[in-house]
Amino acid sequence: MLLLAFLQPFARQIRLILNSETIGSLRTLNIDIDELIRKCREHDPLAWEALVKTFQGRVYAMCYYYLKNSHEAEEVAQDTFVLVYRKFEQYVGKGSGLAPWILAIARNACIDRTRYNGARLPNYQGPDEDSSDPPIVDEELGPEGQQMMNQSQALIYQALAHTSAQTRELILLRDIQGLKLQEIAHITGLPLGTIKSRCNRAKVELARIINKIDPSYARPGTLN
Amino acid sequence: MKCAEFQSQLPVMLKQQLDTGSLVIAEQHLATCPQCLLRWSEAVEAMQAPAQNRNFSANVLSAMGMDPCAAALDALCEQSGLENRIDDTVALHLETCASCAELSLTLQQLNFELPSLRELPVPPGFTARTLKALGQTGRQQETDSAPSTWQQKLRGIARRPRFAIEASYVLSLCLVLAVASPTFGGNGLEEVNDLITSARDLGEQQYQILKQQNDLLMRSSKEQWNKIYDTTYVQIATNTKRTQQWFNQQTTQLLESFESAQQTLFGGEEPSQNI
Repeated sequence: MLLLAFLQPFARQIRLILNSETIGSLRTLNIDIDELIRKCREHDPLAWEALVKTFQGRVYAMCYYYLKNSHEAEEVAQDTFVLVYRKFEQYVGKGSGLAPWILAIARNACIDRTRYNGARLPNYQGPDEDSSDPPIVDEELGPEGQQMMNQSQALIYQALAHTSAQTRELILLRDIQGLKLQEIAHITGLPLGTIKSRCNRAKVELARIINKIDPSYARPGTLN
Repeated sequence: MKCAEFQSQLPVMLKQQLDTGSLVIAEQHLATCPQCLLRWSEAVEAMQAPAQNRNFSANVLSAMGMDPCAAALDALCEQSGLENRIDDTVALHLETCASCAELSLTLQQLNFELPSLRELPVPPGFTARTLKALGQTGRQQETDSAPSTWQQKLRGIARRPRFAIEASYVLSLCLVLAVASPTFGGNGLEEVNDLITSARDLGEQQYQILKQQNDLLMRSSKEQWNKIYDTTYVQIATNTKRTQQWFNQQTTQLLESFESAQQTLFGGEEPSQNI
């Protein structure tokens, strides 16, 4: 009881740590990515299923953040995996480089779709009207935790909507998807030093906007 | 009062939130315990020091052209989600800079929360639909890579973008061969040789005719030129001679009239200079 009472104020941080890093890596711990790549090259259906299941959440999240439309995000995420299947023979890297490679394909597919949408007829509907509220339902959280998590995430989404497209992309690639600076530089085609300084500035900009929207954000359990 | 008890009450005492009775007891303990008195004085000094030094350090760094806030925020941004250890120099800056301290808390919270947005739950049936699309792509690739019949090969050749140009080349070559080769009913290269010989003769005849015409034209133009030159020269010479004769006549008449006027006026004597 005492331990629970002591840990209760830190429940949110514990949940975030476990959700973001530990559980995320545990899901993929049982799968050797290099072995998965070898089997995928042999067109093993089970290996492709494992690959899709391993990366579908990240690819879908990437597409959703870019396109702000769940239907288009689903289409582009599927197209991304089809492109990955077609170009898989061209991939010569190791297992650690597979996620950045797939995310780079997803990013390019999203940019192509955005350009296509821009060149389409004027009756194009654009992003979802409720795009500021992402369709996140995590049943592992309790109702209170879910509410707190949604509030916190909604605040981040709201703040991200106030930032520039470049800032959003850098936060998405660096802080959300956790890509290395070299990988981001390779994907975006910008110099490494530029990426580093822009990433830092982007996060500070996001923090400032969040503090403006809700000054109590950084104090656990006091979200408005 | 024991030292441990005093130390537990020290933060409350510094905030001046201790009740009067406890404060009296704490003061009595301070009076008797030099160690606790030393800790109390250090705590009070540490609490007051930042307020005194804040403007001074800010002014000095500003004069040196340094921006410690930017450096501290850069250092905070470079932390990953699980690493929350703050460098001592950054921690010291955060103690004296309220805005950076507030941003630091937000950045630390973001370091935790942003990676949790890495994945989104996919719509129901997404995996199955994706695998189905992959299966269709695989079958299509297999079909594309399978050995094809001659009809499919021909169809593939006909679909090439430069097929029309290539076909026209081939047809032209066939036509030339058909005309030139006796196998296909033509007289072969003899006809072509006859054609070339006749064309050469015709060309030479035309050349001779053109050369004669050219010579004729040159000759006639030269004659014309000489004729024009002679005529013009004679006319100019005649006119010049006539003009000269007219000028001589005029001069003679003028001299005669001058002499007659002189004789009439002066009777043959020279006119005096005094007149």
